[in-house]
Amino acid sequence: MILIRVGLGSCGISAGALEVYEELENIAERNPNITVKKCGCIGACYLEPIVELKVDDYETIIFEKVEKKDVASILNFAKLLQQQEKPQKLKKLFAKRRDGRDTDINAPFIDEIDYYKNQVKRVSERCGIVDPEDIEDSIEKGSYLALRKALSMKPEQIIEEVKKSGLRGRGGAGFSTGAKWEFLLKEKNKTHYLICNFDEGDPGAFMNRALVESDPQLVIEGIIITAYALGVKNAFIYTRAEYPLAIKRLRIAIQQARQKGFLGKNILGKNFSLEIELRIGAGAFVCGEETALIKSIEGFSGRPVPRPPYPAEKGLWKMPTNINNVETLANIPLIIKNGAEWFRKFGTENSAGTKMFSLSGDIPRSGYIEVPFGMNIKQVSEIAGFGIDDFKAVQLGGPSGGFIGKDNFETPLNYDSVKKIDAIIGSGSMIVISKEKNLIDCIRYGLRFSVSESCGKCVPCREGTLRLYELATKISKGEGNPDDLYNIYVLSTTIKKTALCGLGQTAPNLVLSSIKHFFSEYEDKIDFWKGKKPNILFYKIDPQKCNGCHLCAESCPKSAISGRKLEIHSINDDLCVRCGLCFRQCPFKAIEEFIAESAEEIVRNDKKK
Amino acid sequence: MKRTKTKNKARNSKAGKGTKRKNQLKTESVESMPKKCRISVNGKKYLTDKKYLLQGLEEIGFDIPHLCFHEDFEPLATCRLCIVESDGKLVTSCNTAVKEGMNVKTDTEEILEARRFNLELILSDHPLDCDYCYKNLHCELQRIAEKITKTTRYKGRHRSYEKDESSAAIMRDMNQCILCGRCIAACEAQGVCLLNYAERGFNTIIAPPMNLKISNTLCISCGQCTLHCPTAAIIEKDERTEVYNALNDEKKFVIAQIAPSVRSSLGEEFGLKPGTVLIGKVAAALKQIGFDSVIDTSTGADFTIMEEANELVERLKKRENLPMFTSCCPAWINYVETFHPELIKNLSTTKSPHQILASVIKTYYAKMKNLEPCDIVIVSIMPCTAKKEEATRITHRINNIPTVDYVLTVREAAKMLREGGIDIMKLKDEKFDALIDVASGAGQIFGATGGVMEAALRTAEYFINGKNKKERIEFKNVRGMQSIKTAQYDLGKQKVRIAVVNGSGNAEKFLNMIKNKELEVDFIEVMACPGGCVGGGGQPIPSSMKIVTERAKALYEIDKKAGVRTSHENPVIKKVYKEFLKKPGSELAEQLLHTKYMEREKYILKEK
Repeated sequence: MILIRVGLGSCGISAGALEVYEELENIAERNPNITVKKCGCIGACYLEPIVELKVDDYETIIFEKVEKKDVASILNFAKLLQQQEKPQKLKKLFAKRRDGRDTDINAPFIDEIDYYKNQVKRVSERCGIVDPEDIEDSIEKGSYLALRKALSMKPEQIIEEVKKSGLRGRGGAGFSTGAKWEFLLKEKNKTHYLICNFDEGDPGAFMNRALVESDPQLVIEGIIITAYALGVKNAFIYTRAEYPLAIKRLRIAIQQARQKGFLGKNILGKNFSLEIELRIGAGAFVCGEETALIKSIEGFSGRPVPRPPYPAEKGLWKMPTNINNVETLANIPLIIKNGAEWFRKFGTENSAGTKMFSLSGDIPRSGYIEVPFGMNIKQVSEIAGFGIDDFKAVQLGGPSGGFIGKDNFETPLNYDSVKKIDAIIGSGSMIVISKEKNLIDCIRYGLRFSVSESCGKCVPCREGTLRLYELATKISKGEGNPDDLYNIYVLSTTIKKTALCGLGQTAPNLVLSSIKHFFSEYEDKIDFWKGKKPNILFYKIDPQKCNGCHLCAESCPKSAISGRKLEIHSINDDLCVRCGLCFRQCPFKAIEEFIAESAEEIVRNDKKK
Repeated sequence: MKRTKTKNKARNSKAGKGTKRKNQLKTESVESMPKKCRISVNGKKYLTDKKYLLQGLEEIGFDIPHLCFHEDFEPLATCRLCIVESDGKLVTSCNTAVKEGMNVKTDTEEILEARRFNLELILSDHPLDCDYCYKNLHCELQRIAEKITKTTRYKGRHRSYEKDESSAAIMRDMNQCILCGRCIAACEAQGVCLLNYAERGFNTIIAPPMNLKISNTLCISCGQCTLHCPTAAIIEKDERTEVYNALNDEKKFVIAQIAPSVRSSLGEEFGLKPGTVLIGKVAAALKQIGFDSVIDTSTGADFTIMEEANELVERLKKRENLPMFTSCCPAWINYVETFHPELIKNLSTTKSPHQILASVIKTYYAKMKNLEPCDIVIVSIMPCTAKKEEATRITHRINNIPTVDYVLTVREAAKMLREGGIDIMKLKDEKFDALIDVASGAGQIFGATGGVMEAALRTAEYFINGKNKKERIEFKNVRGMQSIKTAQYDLGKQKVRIAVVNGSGNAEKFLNMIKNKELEVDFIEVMACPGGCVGGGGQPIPSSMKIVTERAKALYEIDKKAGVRTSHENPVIKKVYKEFLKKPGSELAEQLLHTKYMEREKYILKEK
């Protein structure tokens, strides 16, 4: 018996896996000994098309970058193996799995390979192994065991277990899932809705797509369990039209689950019914935001509305609604099946479990990975195969995230410590930027994305992001002046503080993070800042120290300092270009230099007084 | 009564000192008004029962800059100017609910900076051509900019869109738009839902579907969007130039007619309180800028009532085409023609008051004054933009000349008076044209919701019984600002079930109720604007339900004091019918005072 699995995720298909699959199917039609199956992506997208070969009870052999012309040699290889002759090692042989009799072939095991050895496969365990279009295969490999267990539990017990596990939302904000569920239960009398947020939109993120394309039954199982726990009768999966393969597979999966009795009325004979509906958006980034997503499902254009009321009070059709990310929901069956304790084995105290990241950018090995929280960039660099000295920054969290530089690559990647270094875990996109790239151009790319994806409702986001983009462009052209940098900084903070929704509030994150951690990039572009402290600064005159000598006012090139001789002087912050001349001139050291961060502290101190 | 009591208490408690004050506050909040919340603003304590923080702060006396918030709508929270600090966090006060024990700051450096930067961002994409702008000195953006900053540090891309002047009622200039979304809320409240955001990011625009020209859409011309636009992005179609030309044409005899509701709102344009009534002064002012004669549209309303009441009595007799809807509101006519063409037969065929009056002027009045009808120019000063569109209707022509030549909104008329350099308060009262000088009280309450109904009932009762009951000249059940009012009156031999609806959005709800047989009625007054004409799309800005109520109240005051309170007793009406029209519903009246309606296409899609 020869079983061949072809990786037919979007990554595989774009690399030409369909051709290989068709060729194999043609042969299999003529040969009853050979079975060909579809599967998703095992994560090593850089090796696609991947073909896995299982002969009788031998261990699985994995081939990489398979082309149509390699099919014959792979089949030949399989036949030799079947005849218990040791085949010659093929060039495209990648690795083998520990799932059968030793083949005595000289190849590394997959869990010894650099790309996989530090990964912990939980959510993505079945990805690339299970046939996404065949529920039987999933059930054989353990699907819906958790559902059976969950239905024997009380809903409160499920919520308790999820709370104990410490699972946090994988969509970006990292809010505790258990707590979020409890909000919903406050209003018991109304109809509740559950929405699975599969509107993965940030550039560089594709792990959710890979998950759904590879193992849709896991997601559906998660939705069913969650719906049971929350007393939901109607659940929605919201996704984007740009993911046609995922949509197709979800449709098939939902249909098959219904046929098997996992969906519909009286699921598994229990007094619990659920329908899952697939809703497809036109592909706007902002529709990943809860309120915009709800509007989109309701049939309006996807634009956020002010919160409160929060979706947990008034969501879809003004009913209490729970919205969870796909990956969050995919974690639920695992927690139910294995228990909270098992879940907590990996990860850190406040960020339990594992997280899928998608790796892309200037790296040799790209694809999605699943690692426990608490890993650092250095370890990720070993997985992705980029040298620590070759890269400039890792952009974590997409256009709403931040840059992590060399000084922080030992910071553990978990929700809280990443926040401290001005980045976010976000949905989990990691874009590696090499040394040769200009960071300001990367920021411009992110900003351009925000400009075009803004819903256009609120001022800071609609106008502000464009102005940021224009200023960044000016600086990147080398035409910037110190004022521009200052404007970029204050504009960013204003947008962050005052925008209507999450998209706006996080749009300037890249700028702020780069100013703080990669100031040298700006120094290179603005002559003025060369050799200055890498931060935004401003000057203030201490009225108690000022003796009214007027030297500062004379030295100021912008006439930003007011005050006559023998009067206390002051600096007009709007006119000041922060050249620092007055600071150096003052004989009484009355002029103080503040960097922006500490200035915030000063403002805070003032308030206390 | 209860409310005033608590107010006094609150005042007392504020005057109190120290611990005593605190105790009073506590007991009060527990006893009388559980909904009142104590908030601390800049360290000072206040009590407020408002829902949103912005309203609470405004009540206290703060002037928080805001562009998108309007008290008649739910908060939109798009302009991000009303930033305050609540419990250490920057929030937009317009959509922050007032909570007990809230700690609010309104003027920290952080707040002022955030407001300033957001305003600069708004201005960065605004033409900043205030001196040439139609709304100069009447623009909310300008008012706020005067206080915060008039310049912007951001130079960059500007939006550039073509103006849409296709509609006869409103003009759109999207370059002036700040995308606050109030027009969308207004359009939605009207049940039209034409305007909405389109496109994304910086290219976002508020537009009809597929960016169609307004004239090719289902717009009912009610003008509520113009009433709520804080800038000059949506304004009424400006017809001042044409009026000036007519005034300066010596051959022309230019007559102004002023609508019932204008008398209680025009004063607002000159800084007077809402509800201040100006009649004689308006007539004087208009004559001073060159109008040859000024006539009261309320007289036209009396004609309308004569015809409409007659029509109602006829239809009740024959029991056909019932329920009958009033036809005074051109926006409502547009609404029916567009959304409910099946109801066209139920509309009264009587022309709206200013059209009827214009018809009488161009026939009867012209004959009496020995004028050629084509030499008469009639300018209606209306609280309405839909009347502009109505005036262009071919069905309203008599002998192929338009009856009303130009329609000015209250805002345009006030602008003309200002341009003419007239200080309205210094003028001496003058009278309306001697030939048509009396308007009944019934004609003057036309401006408020329920007014037409009340006036019609007064006359219908007379038509049926031959007299009015003295004690019941006022039909109080039809008054007030509720969106849908119903009542039943026993008019002698005839029982009439009536309903009064204001706001075309509410009309839709009402029609559904009729459809579902929840209600059965014979006669329905519908005004497309909230509150009736006093809340019309051509009224002074700002306008809100509170102001609208004041304006309506003033009209009912006029009615109370009026010498003639019913239309059929109006001597002018009697005279014209006797000398010219014979009787209501006569052939001549049918020809001059009635009109036809046609179904309207919702969208006209033309391929380029």
